[in-house]
Amino acid sequence: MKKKQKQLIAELANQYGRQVFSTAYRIVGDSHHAEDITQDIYMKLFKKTPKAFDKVNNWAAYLTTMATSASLDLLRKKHRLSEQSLADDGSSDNVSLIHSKPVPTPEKQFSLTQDVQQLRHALTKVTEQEAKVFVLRFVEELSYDDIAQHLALTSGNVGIILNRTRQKLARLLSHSQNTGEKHEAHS
Amino acid sequence: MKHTADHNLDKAVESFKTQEPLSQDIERAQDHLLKAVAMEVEKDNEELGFFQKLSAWWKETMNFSGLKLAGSMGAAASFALAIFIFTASPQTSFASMVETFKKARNFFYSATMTNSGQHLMDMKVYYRESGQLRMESYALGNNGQPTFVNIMDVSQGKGVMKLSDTNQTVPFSFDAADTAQSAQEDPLYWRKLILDVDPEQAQSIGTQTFSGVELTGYLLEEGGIETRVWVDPNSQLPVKINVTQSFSDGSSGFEMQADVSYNQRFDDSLFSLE
Repeated sequence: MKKKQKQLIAELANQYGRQVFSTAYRIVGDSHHAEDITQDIYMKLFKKTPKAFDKVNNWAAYLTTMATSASLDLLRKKHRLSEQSLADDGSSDNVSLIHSKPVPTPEKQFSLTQDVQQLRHALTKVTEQEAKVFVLRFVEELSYDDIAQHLALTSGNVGIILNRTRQKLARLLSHSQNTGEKHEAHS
Repeated sequence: MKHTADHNLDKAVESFKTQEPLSQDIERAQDHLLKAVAMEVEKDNEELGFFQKLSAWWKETMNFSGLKLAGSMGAAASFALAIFIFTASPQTSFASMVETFKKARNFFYSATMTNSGQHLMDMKVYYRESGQLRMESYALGNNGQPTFVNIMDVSQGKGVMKLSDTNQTVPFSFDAADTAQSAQEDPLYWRKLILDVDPEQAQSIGTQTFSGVELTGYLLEEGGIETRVWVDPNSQLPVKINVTQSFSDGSSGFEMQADVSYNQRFDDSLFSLE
């Protein structure tokens, strides 16, 4: 690897390391997993060819996309393992797949945490591509063009996928709230 | 019903966006990341690493400034010419500053480095005439602790990189075989430039007052890098250095701003390779 590339990676770590970590944390909800994901992303950069480096014209968007993809992958793996485990032991509690950091439990905070857990859960129920496009647009607020470029789509496709994913996630959340939160409404 | 479902989704997304890690977790992760990247840069043996190149350049600089330049009649003639050129200026001449600068026993500088206006890192550099260099690098949110420290002894051709968090020490040796360096990699780029440049190439940029002291400025241009050297007329030494490297489209790229002080007493422990 060329000296310039290594230097760029060091600069990218300095400049965007925290941002990558925060993106990963939002999705997986665990700082240790987020840290592993962040380091993996930067280590992968050392394996890239100079040509691949030259193709990237928006590093912030590129790294955010990498972090989102890796985090959603982990979320899905955890979800599969969790479902397998639940099927084995017959448990019915599948709300919390990966736990957020411990927080005090006033009602508002509980509701907020519930929203987050349900959205994380719902993101494992749509396709991988749909989850990525949705998170990149509505959570990380990347432009259609940036999403299209980094996921090898057209901007038009991004729009179509977003529309479809919104409908799917909205249905999943409604279903989840109609079933999983009844006890909360009466408590 | 559809409206409620959309509202619920929007609400969940907003909650999702509020999920932020604790600041201490962010800093811990960032610290670990920078160390992992630094180790990865170092471990590749295909070419000399960052610090080894720095060491090589440093050794070359020491050899050049200590022996060749000081004894060079050609250089002396250049300085004499430059003194003549700058005698019209009421302020410090560049050439006389260079002569004083060469006599400095040691210096210390602290610097801030940015790229495209974004803060990259801070640095503290200790230099001793005997050929010893200590460079402390501070990542963002460093809590006053350097992310890593690099110490080199040119006479021994040895150096160590210390990771402050884990107290891990990585020794290395070096020679002066490879001296190609850029402004972004050399903490002492500006020093070599001042000693090396033809004084005729130094453009006077007038005076400017910093902290109540009127300093005399010179602009040095080399390979697309602009170095502004601000000289204290009392000490005849450069006390402020500004290095900038713009992108080809003219937008701001790398920048280093440094404050320099001279002839201080440095504890030997600062340069210990243990």
